[in-house]
Formats: sequence, structure tokens, C-alpha cells
Amino acid sequence: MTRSRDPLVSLGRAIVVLVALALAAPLLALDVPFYASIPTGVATTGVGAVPEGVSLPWFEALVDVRRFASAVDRSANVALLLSIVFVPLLVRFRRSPRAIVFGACAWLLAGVAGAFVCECSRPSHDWVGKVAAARAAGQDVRAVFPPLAFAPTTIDAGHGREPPSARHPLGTDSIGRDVLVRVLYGARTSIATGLLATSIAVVVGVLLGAIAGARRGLADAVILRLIEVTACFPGFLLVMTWVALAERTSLYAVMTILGLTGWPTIARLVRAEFLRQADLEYRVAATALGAPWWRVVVVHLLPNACSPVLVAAAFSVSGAILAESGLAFLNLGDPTLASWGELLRQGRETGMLHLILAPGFLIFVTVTVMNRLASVLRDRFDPRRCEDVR
Amino acid sequence: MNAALLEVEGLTITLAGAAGAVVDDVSFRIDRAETVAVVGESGCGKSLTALALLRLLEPPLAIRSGAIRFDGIDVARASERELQRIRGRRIAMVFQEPMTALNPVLTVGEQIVEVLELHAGLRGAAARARAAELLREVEISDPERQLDEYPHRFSGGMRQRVLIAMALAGEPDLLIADEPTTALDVTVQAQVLDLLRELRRTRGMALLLITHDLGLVAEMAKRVLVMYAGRVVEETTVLDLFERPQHPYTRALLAARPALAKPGARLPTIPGVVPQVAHYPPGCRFHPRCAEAFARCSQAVPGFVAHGATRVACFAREESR
Repeated sequence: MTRSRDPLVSLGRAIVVLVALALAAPLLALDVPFYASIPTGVATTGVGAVPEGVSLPWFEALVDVRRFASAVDRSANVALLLSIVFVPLLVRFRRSPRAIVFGACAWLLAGVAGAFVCECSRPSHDWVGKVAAARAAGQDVRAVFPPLAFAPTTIDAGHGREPPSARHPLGTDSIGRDVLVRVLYGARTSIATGLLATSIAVVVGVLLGAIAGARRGLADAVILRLIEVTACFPGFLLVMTWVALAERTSLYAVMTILGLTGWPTIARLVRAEFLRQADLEYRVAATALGAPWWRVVVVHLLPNACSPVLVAAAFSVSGAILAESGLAFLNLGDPTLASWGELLRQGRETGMLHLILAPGFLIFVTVTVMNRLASVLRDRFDPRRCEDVR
Repeated sequence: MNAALLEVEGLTITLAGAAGAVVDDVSFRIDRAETVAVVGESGCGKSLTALALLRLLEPPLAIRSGAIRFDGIDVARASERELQRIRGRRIAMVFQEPMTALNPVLTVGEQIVEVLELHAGLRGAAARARAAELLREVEISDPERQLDEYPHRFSGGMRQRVLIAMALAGEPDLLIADEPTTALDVTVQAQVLDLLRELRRTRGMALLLITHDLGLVAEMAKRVLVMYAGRVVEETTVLDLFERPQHPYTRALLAARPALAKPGARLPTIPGVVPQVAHYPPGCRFHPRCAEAFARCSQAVPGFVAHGATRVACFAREESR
């Protein structure tokens, strides 16, 4: 049996690589050492003093609200730590799609929950500066930094607007922040926007669509009108209006608005799928065998509505990522977060190619991968194209 | 005679927006361990009657009047909660279309286990073992492995057996089989029928067989209801059905059996078609197609008259007495 090349496999790999890069950002780039052994002296005094003795400051920094102001970053950090548990589990159960979906969701939720449970706030240690100073003073300092010893917010004074160099592989932006580091952390912003906006749209859409499709009658009429009204609001414009009116831009507000304007597509699909199934005998058969109506909905009807929802969700992820980049490009993004769109904006303002190429390429790749995934899934789920009968 | 297992009296089903009743004043009874067949052309209300027994009709269809007494419970007036205890556990149904009556996204095992969890109180490994046992009972080979397969891997005959296994999982007192063999080829048909007969004997289960296949009726049933355009026109025993059919419609049905046709000749048919609900004629609904019809047939609805063990609703039979 020849194994044909499955586009789903390569798309899946691309997504895994993107997510891995986003998660592993602090592993690759942070201005805090994994391991440090500091003697008393230069490093432990003055502004930005670091604690003396042997320590593992990197781990603590991951949940430090001063270093990572955004909960998105802290959740991703906790998820990175939890990958020690979840990656082997996912690899072990890679044959079961169900286990992978549940595992990934559990991982995500554990990351978010972990970030809220164990957050801390430490005085701002200047590890890079103090270690360098101590070394210059000839002290026996040992510190192992990530390959790039910059945080996304670190401003490398005197190195602004630099083209790629050994110190900054992708150059620096207009105020001296490392572009590669910001691109890595920017992936988190993009993925988080895509996930949260889509989750909101899916939860609201599935719930309302299912109620409309299953209960019919008045509920259906009300929800249909709600769908029509909501679909009238262009999500992107609504977000821009909100950003213009609000005092401080928050990524969550953006995600929420995008999610709350995105659900009608999904609700429509779920409702249509329920109505189609209304004519299929297994629905009546389930009732005939004594299943209560909610069980018929949850066990029998919803799983069948999954495929169109999955396709719409994949499109919605890429749409949300584009929307977030667009907002940041227009300088309407969350200023505390690194974002691809924000780098693009700087590129447009300064005309420097290295500020445009990397984030532009990543936006292009991410959106293309998600759109391609959606269309491959759509073809795969199309019953008229079910030649796949292994 | 002891109390009937199921007693239907004056069941009338209406379609919102249509004047006439889709199923009109249907009455019959089924005793324990008895097989009753309902025959008639397509569109005569057989399947609707079956669905009504489990209160599965959905708008625009609705039961307008009539009583459905099952073992002391009035199904026609039962609450949703009571119905859930009857459906699957006391009365189970095998649907007509094996291709669509199984949920495509659940494995066969999951679907059988669901019924076991609902009605037999079995969980986990015990439910699974029982599901495998049920599959073995309906003669599916290698049941342990087949439990984890999805319905699309099964042939029509195997799916029909899975449906029967699901219906049997709740150990019902009455099994309603709506055209259980129409979608199957002949050899599989025979197997499924043998299976049903065997199960009826071993479990003492009553069977309501809905079909338009008279051969099937002869093989399986003891009593027969002949329905036409939503009404019962004749209720008789299997022997009398073939030996002494009374109603002109029953006679026409019997005459239209392909087996009786002369080789080379056109197959005999009943002229005309079953009318749509909106166009049900007044009086006896069969009279426009009836060879024996006379003036009175289009004016009044004939009542039942008894001929031995047979009840028939026809003015022509009234006169001949």
C-alpha cells in the first residue's frame, strides 16, 4: 500500500512548529538566566541588584507579573513548563484524535489556570547588566542565559534601528528592541487572539445554533433574528470603534469583540446541520430507544455538526489573527504585547526591510496555513468527495 | 382472554393544515408474545401508526384523539418522563432505513452501550460485554472487534442487525419492526426474519410487523390488519387473509402479488393510487378504486362487520350477509 502525501500532515506539522515556537519563546529569549551563581559584591548591590547565591531565576520569572505583564504570556509560560507532562502524553496517545483534542484543551486550560494560581511579583532584577558588571569586576559569576538574552520589552540602548547582526539576528526596531525576540513573543499574541476569539465564537455559536435547531419554534425565531442583527455589525470596525473610545486597549476586549461578532456564522452552520439531521432516522431512533432530548442533542446531534464548525473555526482563527495584526498595524493594538502587526507598522514608518520581512512572512504563513487547513478539512468532510475509504 | 399487552382505540392522527385525518379511528390489540402484521400500500399510515405508539410524531403531525394502552399505561397521555421509561425498555422499534437509523459518528458499540446504560443499568465493561453478546445473538461474527467499528463499515444487512440488537438491548415486551427487511437482499432478509422469529419464541416478545410484503406476513404473523388511506379496512387471521379475504382492497392486494402473475403477462396492479391526505374521498376511502363500489360507498363510512374471526369495513360485505 503506497502512502500518499496527506496535506493535513504537513499542515499539522506547520501548526505544531508555530505553536512550539510561541510556547518556547522564553526558552529562546529572555533576559533572565536559567541558572545563576552570584557571589556577594557588585551584582548584589545598587539599582537592579540580583539575589546572591545559587538560584534558578528563570523559572520564577515565568510567572512574574512584572516581567510578563500580560496573562497571555504568563499562561503560555506555565503551559511551557507543563509541556514536560503533556508532550509525552500527547505523543503516547497520538493515534487517538479524541485524546489529542482533550489533551490539548487540558494543556491550555492548565496553563491559564496555572498562570492565575501561581503568579508572583519580584523586584526588577537587572540580570544581564549585573552579571556583566560582576564579570568585568573579575568576580566568579556563573550564569546560563537563553540564547538571546533579551526580553521582548528590553531596550538595547544605543542599538536602535539596526539591521541584522550577530547581536540581533533580525536587527532591532526603532527604539532598540530585538526583532527576533518580538517576533517570537508576537506569535503568542497572534495565536492567543485566534484561539480566544474563535473559542468565544464557537461556544456562543454552538450553544445558540443547537438551541435554535433542536427546539425550533419561538427559540429558533428569536435566535435567527439575533443572528441577523449580529451579522450586521462588522467586527473589525466595531473593535476599532471600541479602541477609539476606550482609554486603554486590551487584547481581551479585542478578542471578545471579535468572538461576539463571529458567532453567527457558526450558529447558522450548527442550526442548519441540526435541521438536516431532523430528517435522519437516527435522531428519531435515539428518542425511540428512550434517550432524553438533551442526550439526543449532546450525544447524537452535536458530534455530527462538528465538521462544518471545525472548518468555520479554522477560518475564524486566521481571520482573528489578521484582525489583530491589522489593529496593531494601525497602532490600535495592546501596547503591552509584542505583535507582528506592530512590527510591520514600524517597518512602514521607517521603511526598514528587516522590520517588514520577518513579521510579514509569519503573518502570511500563519494565515495561509489556517486557511489551507480549513479548506482541506472542508474537502475532507464533503460527503460528495468521500473517496477516502481505506 | 387475559388483558392485552397493547390496546389501541380510535387512534386519530392529524396533519396541521390538512382537513382529513391522516390516520383515522384505528383500533387494534396485541397480546403478549403475539405477532401482528400491518399491511397496506405506501402512504396508508402504517408507519405513522407505529410512530404514534411511541409518541414519536412531531409537528405538523399530532395525535388528535384515541387511547394507546400499554400494560396499563396510557401512552397517549404519558409525560415525557414516563415515555422515556417505556421507549426502548418496554416498547422498542426497529426502523425502516438501516443506512440512516444508525448515527454515523458513533461506533456500533457506543450506540448499543447507550441503550444498555439507559435501560439495563449496565456500565463500563459489563455493558460492553453485554453489547458483544447482543451482537452475537443477532449473528454478527467477531462481535468484540465489530463493537469498535463505525456504521459505515457495515453492510445494510449487518446494520439492520445492529438496529435489532439495539432494540433488543432494553429487553422490550413489544418490538415494532417497520419494514425490517425492505432494504435488504433476499438471503439476508431470510436470516433477519429467522432471527426475529427465534427471538420472539425465546423471549416471549410481542412483535408488530409493518410491511407491504404479503409473503412476509404469511411467514411471520398470526393476525393481520389491512390499512388503506389511514383506516383499518380489515382485521383478520393470517389463514383467512389468504383463504377468505373480505374487503375488496384486501382482495386486490392479494391479486396483485407478483407470484400470481402469468409469465409474460403484465403484473397485476390495483388501478389508481392511494390519494393524498388532502384529497381523501368522502365515504369509504377506497371506493374510487373499488370494482364493487356502489352509490352508498361514497356517502357514508362503512362500520365494521364480523365474519367469523374477521372484521371488515365494507358495505358490500354487509349486504352479502
